[in-house]
Amino acid sequence: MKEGWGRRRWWEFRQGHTVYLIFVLTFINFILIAYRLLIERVTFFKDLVPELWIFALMFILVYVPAAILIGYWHRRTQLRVETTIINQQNPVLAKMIRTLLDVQTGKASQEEIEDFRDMLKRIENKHKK
Amino acid sequence: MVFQKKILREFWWAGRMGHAIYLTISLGFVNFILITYNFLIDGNEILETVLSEIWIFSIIFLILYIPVSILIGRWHSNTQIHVDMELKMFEDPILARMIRTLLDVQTGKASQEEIEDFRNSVLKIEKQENDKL
Repeated sequence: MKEGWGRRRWWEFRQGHTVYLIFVLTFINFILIAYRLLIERVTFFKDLVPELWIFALMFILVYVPAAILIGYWHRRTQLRVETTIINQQNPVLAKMIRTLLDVQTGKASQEEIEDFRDMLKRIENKHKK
Repeated sequence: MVFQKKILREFWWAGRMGHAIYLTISLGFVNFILITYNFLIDGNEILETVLSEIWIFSIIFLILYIPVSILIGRWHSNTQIHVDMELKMFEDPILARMIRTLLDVQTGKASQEEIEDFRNSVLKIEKQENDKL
């Protein structure tokens, strides 16, 4: 499939932004807001964390391993639940698999096969419009 | 009524896509620029001499951010996505069952009962008659 140059760059920009750089922006936002609006204004916290860079370092040292551990737990326990729920709500995939099964077992009529093939062709050719 | 509901749900989906894929990028940029400029650059003697105005900071940020993001995204598309997909596919029991049953039908391993059970379960998904979550 040939997509436009601009659309490919837009996809890459979004991948770079949403998967990687957004973390940096969000971390900086959080660190600055939390430090300037909370830590600097409360003496107890200010004594604990006297400098912005110390807070930034402490935050990253705690946050990154915590995120990795949570992500690992998510993959091992939660991801399976999510893919199951998503696939259970995917009638198009179910139709595709059911029709392939019916073709294989001889249950599908010629008309049904043709309708299914037309549907696939419409999906396949949509980007050419 | 059902048709109207579907239209509303499609609008809700379109709105979410517009927000999540496009507009949220602008919101994030504005947040970052305002917060960083006001809480970090403004009042800092060294940074303020280089970035005396917020619009200068915004332009420099965008000029650097967009190409860096494209380069990282290009690297991600070429090297990381297949890892993500692999992890997801290994945690996708429904798709695995679908493909395995098709394979078993092809190789003659699937019993008639198994085929019927499987057909009923995909038919339920197709017609959205599956058990409520």
